[in-house]
Amino acid sequence: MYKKSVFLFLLAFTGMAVSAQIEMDQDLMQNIEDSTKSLTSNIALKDIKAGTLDAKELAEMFAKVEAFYTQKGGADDAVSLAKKSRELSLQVGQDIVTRNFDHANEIATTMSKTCKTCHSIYKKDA
Amino acid sequence: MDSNNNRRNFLKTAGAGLGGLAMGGFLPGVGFLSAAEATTYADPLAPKPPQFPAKAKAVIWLHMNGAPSTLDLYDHKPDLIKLSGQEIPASFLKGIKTSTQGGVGKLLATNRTWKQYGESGAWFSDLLPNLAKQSDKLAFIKSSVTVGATHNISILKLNTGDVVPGRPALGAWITYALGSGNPDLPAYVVLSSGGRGLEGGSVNYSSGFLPAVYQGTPFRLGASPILNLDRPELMTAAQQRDNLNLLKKLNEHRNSRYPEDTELQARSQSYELAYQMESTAPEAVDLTKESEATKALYGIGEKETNDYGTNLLRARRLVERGVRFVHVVSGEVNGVRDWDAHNDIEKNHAAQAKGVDKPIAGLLADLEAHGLLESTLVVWTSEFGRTSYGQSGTGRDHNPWGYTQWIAGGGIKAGYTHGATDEVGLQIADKDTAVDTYDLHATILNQLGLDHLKVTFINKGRSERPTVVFGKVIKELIA
Repeated sequence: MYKKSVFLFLLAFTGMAVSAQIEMDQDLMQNIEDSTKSLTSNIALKDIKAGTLDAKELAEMFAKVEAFYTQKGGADDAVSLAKKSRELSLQVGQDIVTRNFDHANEIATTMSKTCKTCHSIYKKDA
Repeated sequence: MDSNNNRRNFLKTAGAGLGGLAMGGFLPGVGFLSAAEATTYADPLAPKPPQFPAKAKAVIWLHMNGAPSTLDLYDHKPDLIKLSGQEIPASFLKGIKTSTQGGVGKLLATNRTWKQYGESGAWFSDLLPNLAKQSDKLAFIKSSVTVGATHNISILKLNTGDVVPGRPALGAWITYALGSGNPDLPAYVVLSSGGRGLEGGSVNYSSGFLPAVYQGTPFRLGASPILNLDRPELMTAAQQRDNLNLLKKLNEHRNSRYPEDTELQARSQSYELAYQMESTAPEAVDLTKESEATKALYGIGEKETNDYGTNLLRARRLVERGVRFVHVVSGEVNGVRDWDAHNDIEKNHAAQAKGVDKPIAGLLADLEAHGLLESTLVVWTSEFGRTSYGQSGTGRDHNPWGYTQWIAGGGIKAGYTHGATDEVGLQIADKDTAVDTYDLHATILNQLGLDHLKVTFINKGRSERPTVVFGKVIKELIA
């Protein structure tokens, strides 16, 4: 599990290196939604282990979204918002590790709002 | 005695109740209690302190059922008047899906006249002459947004924060977090004014996954607000008390075997509450002792405003008696069942506005006269707004992309306007100013002394909060 977490964490940092065959489907969006809810819960429960894992998984998924829209082209807003979400999820992970749960809560909420902003622009694709 | 009982007894004998649990990690909001525990440890409706000093004690939630066109009430758009009858320029449609019903008609301006009122200079149309005179009490949110295109979905989101049933309504969260302000009355009351009623029904005032004791209690119009509340004629008060005592013992016995059954706990609680309410509820909604001037203020006695005015005066009386959350649903006026004006908006809005204008203006004035406005949040809200382009030639379609709501009282910055829509009033002008239902909920909770991020409840192992994973307090709205 630890190795997987480290892998996901590194992958998040190197999101742009995701395969050129990247696909983005409804499952990915559903997984992001599920992980976001799980993250929110784990921050409130102050569960460092589970919250950190959620944040890392989200970073990886946002990297996929970022790569998808980069590859697709003509979707600068989506690339920018996915990048912002990836960075926010990493920030949440750091806040959880340092037990700064209040800040993690605020940043996670900002991340959710960023998702919503993206959906309002790209709802046909979402 | 098992360890759970020891712990429970310790808390009770320490006089700690829920307050004591806060020391162990529970607070309304921090709540690490399961549904069963929340109703077992102490009276779940016992008053609980806010998390920080509150500006407001109660909420009157004025749901304009069917979704009014705020373009025809508050959001004056000279360009819409100029462009009326023309196709909407494509630039205004960028980023939205308009496939709700009937496609996009031509831009439509109705036969309104507009005027600015008060020191704030807020615009009101001729449909709201009485409310306009209260303009300086209001804080407008002209950048309201939501999701969904159908009434039942968006009403559910307005009340519960989600588009599928199962989550607690805002009133239930507030009752859970603050408890009751009057043990003889429900903490959360729903007043309907006839007509179409709430689409989706009771899920809109449900306690969701919270213990059932926190759900809203519907009151009917008329002298007997709660069905079957009166004691049967052939039963004495002593007999009724004996019956209830026996029932309570039997329920407690059953409940000891199934402590997670919050429905049973809520039912037991409701028997006691109903017993207490036999005398208090009729008095709370009895308007006979109100002066004729007060009744006239609310439009009571006038055909179009009698029912809604009666409900609003009852709302004031309920808030006065410690009820936390009063949800008032607008109703039928002159045969028009709600604000849903897909066609003939002139007739629809003339009737609906007539039905609410005087009562709401009266409510604001009366709350102020009773010294209650500063501690009561009055929220004028709807599931969405209506489009600036027409539908059916004479109506407007649903608009979740930009509409107006307002709040008054409870520490809100009166006279302030937050955000704006575009030149024709279709979408919000600046997405950074968007106020979604979650943000409205977060701001209301904030005024009640509650941090929406910390009003939590454990449901099936997951910590849940009123604003799901969203929500932002709109600080600009706070005085």
